[in-house]
Amino acid sequence: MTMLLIFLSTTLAILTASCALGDVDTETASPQTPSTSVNHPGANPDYRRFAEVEGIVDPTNFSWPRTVRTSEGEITIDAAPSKAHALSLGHAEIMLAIADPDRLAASYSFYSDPTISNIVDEVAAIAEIGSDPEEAVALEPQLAIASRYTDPDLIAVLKSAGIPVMRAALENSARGNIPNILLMAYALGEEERGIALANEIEQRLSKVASIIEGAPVEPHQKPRVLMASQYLTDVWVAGRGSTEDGIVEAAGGRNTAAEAGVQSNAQSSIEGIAAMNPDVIIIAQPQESGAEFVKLLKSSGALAEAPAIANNDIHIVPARYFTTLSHWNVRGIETLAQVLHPELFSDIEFKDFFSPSPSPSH
Amino acid sequence: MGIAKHLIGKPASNAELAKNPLYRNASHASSKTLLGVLALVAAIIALSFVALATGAFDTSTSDTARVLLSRLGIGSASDVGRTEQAVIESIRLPRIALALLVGGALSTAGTLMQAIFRNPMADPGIIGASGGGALGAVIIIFIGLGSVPFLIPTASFIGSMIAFLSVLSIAFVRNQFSVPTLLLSGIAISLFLGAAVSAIILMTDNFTAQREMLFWLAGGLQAARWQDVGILLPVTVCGAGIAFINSRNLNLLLLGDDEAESLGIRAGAFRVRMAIAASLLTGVAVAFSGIIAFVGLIIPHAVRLIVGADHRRVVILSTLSGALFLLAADTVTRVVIAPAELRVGIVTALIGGPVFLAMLIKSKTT
Repeated sequence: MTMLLIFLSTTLAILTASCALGDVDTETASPQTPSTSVNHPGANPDYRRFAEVEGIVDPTNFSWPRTVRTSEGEITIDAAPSKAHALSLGHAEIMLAIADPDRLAASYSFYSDPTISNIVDEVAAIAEIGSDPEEAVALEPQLAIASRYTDPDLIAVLKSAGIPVMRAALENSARGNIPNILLMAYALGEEERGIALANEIEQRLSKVASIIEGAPVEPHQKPRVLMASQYLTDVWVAGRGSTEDGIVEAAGGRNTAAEAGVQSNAQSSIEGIAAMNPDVIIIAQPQESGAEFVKLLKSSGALAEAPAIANNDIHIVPARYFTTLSHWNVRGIETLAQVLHPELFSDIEFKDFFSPSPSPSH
Repeated sequence: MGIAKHLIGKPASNAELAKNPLYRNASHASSKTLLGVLALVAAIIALSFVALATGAFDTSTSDTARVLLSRLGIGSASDVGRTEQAVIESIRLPRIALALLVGGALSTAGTLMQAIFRNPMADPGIIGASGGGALGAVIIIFIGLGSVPFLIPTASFIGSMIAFLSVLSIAFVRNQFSVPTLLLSGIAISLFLGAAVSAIILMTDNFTAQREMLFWLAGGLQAARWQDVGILLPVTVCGAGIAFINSRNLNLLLLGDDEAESLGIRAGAFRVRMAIAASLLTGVAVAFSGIIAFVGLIIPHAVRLIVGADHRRVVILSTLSGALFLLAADTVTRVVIAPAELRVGIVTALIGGPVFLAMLIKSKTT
């Protein structure tokens, strides 16, 4: 048993690294010119937004070289990177929203998992690598973008190979990620697209908020929402501080798990759900396993009197909008707002975010 | 045939056993054991009631008692809320029963393994049963059949048995059973199985399946059902019974194989029988709870620190202590951050580690 536990620990460590880290490929980055040319402060769009972004050393400098300072130290980027390596799914999603797909140096297997990824189509043509740091080094990217969860050993290996590494700590809030999006856009030389994405996020959030605020609903009348998922026999719920927590609030609901004192994403139980007594249960997982979970919830005598079960207010939604850390969380808010307030949003059709196609020059 | 030949053993006679120092003052030891058993049974009953009345959902003690009594055919609980009744009867009660059975099974298996190998560091995983169970479960999840009812426990149990029989067959070198070979082959096969489990997890591209594998391996009792209890109950009772009936012969193993043989025990065959019992107990426990560490290793050891090495006391007290310990750990798991839960393996380690160390230090200083 002890030996098995050692193996499991090792596996967990490797998995953690692989989920947070970099990738592999034998493809060598060739110098390319980014699709966005150097821009100038003061022009439209509003480049003054970069002045608010922590990490940009000189927010008036939009020429090359440019310097960013993150928790990984200060790096100077000599020219717009033609290949950048995104070390997390959230970073890859953001990068593909503000830069041509051929600038993403590589993808990981989980970037292609439709359960959690919003960029499955975009990464289909991009080389996939494994968790071996050597594969990431072999990409020879001009920039690596790490998250707070990236394996420090991988970062050390990349740095020792002379690859500049910046860390953009993604937030579990769509609006809170805007500074990180702008920082990435600055580092990639994609200021216009970065600002456009930031504007789109703000506009879409404002639209949802204005509709909800315009409705005659008192705060205590907001539906008490439980975001839950099931992995085999394990029931998990999203509590305070989770990505889903912010999404529920922004969609005009009250997160019942957060109100019950659950912190972050935590294991719970059928009894726990009965104790939280939700009005609505949102299941963010694939249709098939979600349907199994719904069956379990409906068959439990302990939940028969819970409003969500009694009123059949259980909904399966795409997990990829809720579990990622990127602008795609906005789609989660829109999706949930339609579920919670069908009377307010029935006439509105929300669209997915647009990803740029490769420019003809590439 | 070679294996079968070794499975036939002969129990030591009372006259032979009387020469053994472990059997002196037997009546005094028996009364102390009986007191210990009664104390543990009382503690199990008391803790079971506390666990039944406690949890994320608010249930009063009086309602819990009424529901429990009505289940035993005494009085009625018709005025207790429907949700409250369902929580007590369908969720907490089977979970408590499963915790007691898994804890008892793992602890008994640990006691047997430590006696067989004459090694206090031996635990049920050392014969490959845990690793085999883990591999069986992970394979089922990998091929996408994890939601088929009872398939994971079945595959886990089959995996446990295959792994154990592999270890056992290797230990029969040229029809001669060898304890060192059993130990070494158990370690080697456990390492191999651990590597195979890791490889499958790493090869799994599906994020959901990967999480399911890790969560299953982390162990837990949250999905307890009465059907599970129905399967685990006879196996645990039989396994513990076999261990208890053979407790005198387990004592003889402590004297060394030559001494045991001279007292009428065929040490090799006896070890095999006990190893089969331990692997059955481990396999069925792992099948329904995943891998829960510490119980099989620490509980028998802790009991031995308190009552000495006589297996007539150690076996029964370990079984009951294991049951009590896992119930306590699972109750903490359910209650401490309710309505969220901790993983029971974390709690067994957090409680078991320090308590065991304290006992160890105390035993060395007194």
